[in-house]
Amino acid sequence: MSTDTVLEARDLHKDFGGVNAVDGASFELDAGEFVGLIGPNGAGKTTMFNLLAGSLDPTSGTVMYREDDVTAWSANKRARAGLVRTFQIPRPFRRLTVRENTMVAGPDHPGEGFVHGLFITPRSRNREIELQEKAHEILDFVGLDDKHDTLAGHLSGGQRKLLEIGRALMLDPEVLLLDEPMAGVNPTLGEQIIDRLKELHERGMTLCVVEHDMDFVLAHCPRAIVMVQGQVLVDGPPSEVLEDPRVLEAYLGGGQAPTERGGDASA
Amino acid sequence: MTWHEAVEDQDRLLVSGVLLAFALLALLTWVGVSTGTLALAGLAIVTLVVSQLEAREDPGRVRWVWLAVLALDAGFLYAWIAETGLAGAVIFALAVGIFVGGWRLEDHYEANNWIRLGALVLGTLVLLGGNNWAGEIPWQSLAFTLITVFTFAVFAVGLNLEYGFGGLINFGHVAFMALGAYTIVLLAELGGFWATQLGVFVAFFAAMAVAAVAGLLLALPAIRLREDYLAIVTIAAAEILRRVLLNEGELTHGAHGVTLNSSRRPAVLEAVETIPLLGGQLVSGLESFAAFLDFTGSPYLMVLFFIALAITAVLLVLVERLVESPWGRVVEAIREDEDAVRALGVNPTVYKLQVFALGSAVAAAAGALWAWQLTFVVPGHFEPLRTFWAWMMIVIGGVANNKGAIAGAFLFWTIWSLTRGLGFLTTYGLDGSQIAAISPMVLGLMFVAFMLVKPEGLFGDKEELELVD
Repeated sequence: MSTDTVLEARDLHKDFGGVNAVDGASFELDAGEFVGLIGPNGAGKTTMFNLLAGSLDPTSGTVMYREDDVTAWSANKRARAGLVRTFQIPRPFRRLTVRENTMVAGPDHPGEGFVHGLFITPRSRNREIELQEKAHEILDFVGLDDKHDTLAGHLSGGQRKLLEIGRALMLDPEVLLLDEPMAGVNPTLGEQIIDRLKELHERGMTLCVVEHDMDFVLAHCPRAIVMVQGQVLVDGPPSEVLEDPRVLEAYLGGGQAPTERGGDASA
Repeated sequence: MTWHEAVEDQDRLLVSGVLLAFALLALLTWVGVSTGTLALAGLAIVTLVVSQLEAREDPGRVRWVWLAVLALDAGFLYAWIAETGLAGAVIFALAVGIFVGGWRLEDHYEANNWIRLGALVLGTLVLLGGNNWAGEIPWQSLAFTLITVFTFAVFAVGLNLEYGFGGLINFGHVAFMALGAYTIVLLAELGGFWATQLGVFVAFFAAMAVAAVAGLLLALPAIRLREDYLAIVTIAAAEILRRVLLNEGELTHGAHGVTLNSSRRPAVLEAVETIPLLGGQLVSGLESFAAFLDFTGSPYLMVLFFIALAITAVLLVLVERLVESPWGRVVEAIREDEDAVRALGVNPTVYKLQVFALGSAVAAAAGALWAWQLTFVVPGHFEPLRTFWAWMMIVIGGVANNKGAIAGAFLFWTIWSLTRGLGFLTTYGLDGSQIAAISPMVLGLMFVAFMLVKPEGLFGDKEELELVD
């Protein structure tokens, strides 16, 4: 583990009743990296995310975050510590407004305690105001501020993706794990999402993106990790990775290059 | 407007209304006017203040409601002056007007919901009271029915907190009402401190605490279950509790139940008198109010009515504040998507446990009212059907709306009471049990009608119901 490694998967295994979704995968993310995690369907990318973010417990192996072994940490504890994930299919709180959605993620809110909420203590009131300003900044950043009063259930698919990112940003993540942030989004909104991610990268945030769109990974990620059958197959600059014969083999059984988007860009 | 500004605005509205009412009462007492006038004046002034504050936000819509409420005040005034049977008729007509009028305010304007609830409550009052409005108003049975309504309103608010806001399906809610009721009667049986005025107060909170702890104990293993699995566990737990109460001979006397020792009953009354500064005034005021209404029933019932009213109001305000707070925001987010909440750094289990314990405590408050009202408690009171009554109330009233839960309770009991006492149907060849089946039948039909015509309920949000995944 090098000095600026923020997140490390060490020999992770996840066994779903005989199916080894993740089968001994290891990699490290350095602070400030922008990494694309790619691989064919069923390669274990989303399971990997679930293990890193704590949504699933690994069968064996270790997750290191900063200096800590976080393998036993709950998903919520990891999120609070700055290791935040988004979901492949956005999961907005449909009957809450866009702003309320982001506010739920606001950390350290005394008003979310029962007594402070009931009696509106000055501490909880001040925190509410702070978080509200922050929520507006973030919604402005992701381009949803004019929708802050809309119920999240009314948002389009692409807007939900933006909200998903906005909510995660409320936690000031150090590492942001994005599960297919562009899938199923119209090109204009997709561009917007890419812009936002690049800006977050420039701010120094560590980003790890599961993505099917090879063009995106080629264009924007300095590093790509290819997972196949639960293992890390190749790890390196995307242009080299995508020419690796093993990758071509894994994607298409050889022949066609994965930059043609394979067959699962819509998955 | 932020959450706390909104709540503080409500608080200001309430406080200014109450202060003004008190000021006027003091003034009128000073010039020597009777209690009846005071009550009317108080009603009028609160109406005035509320409607002014309402009108400031949305003048056009509220003006005629305001007029209608004032007309009702006038109706009371007339009833008081005329002292005739006609009074009932006048009140009846006016309140029905209000009842209908209030409901025509079809929108999601939050403040209007208070007026709509008020209209429903007044309408119920008069529909029940005016049942034989040509003659005397049956205050005794009216008070009794209304205490039942309040009891179930509280009960439904507790369930609504769990299901409407927390998304927890609890089919065993009645167990916590039973725990509250049994705590009250069993503590009273101990005598000693529990027979003192202070003891009665403490017993009420003890009942809530017992249910909260029991709710927590049940929830600790069960809360990880989702949706209908939780429903199965809770209904089973409630039935187990009822069977235990039924078969336990020493403490709960099995099917005979426990009677609230009659010598303890006045203790509730005396307990009110011990409230610093106001208590004595309150009881004598209530007694003269009872006299003004020609309330011939027991003063116990009269006082209990106001206790029930107060408990309902206080719990409504507290629960409303709670669900509007950031705490409530998290709870609603958990209802929507527990895993997403977890991914945002919040542990949903903690909140679900809190919600379950709180809902149970609120149910126990309803149980305490139940015990005080009937002055005896038997296991048969707490059959699973009670839980489903509460479910009907919150669905009719509009899930995730506290005022809706209360409105649901009022509507439910209005229908229930109005379909009782249809003895004249025997002349059409119906026997007693057939007549008794009319109430649940009408309620069932009403429920079906709601599902077809207004599935979001009286106060529910249609927009929210129609959201898609």
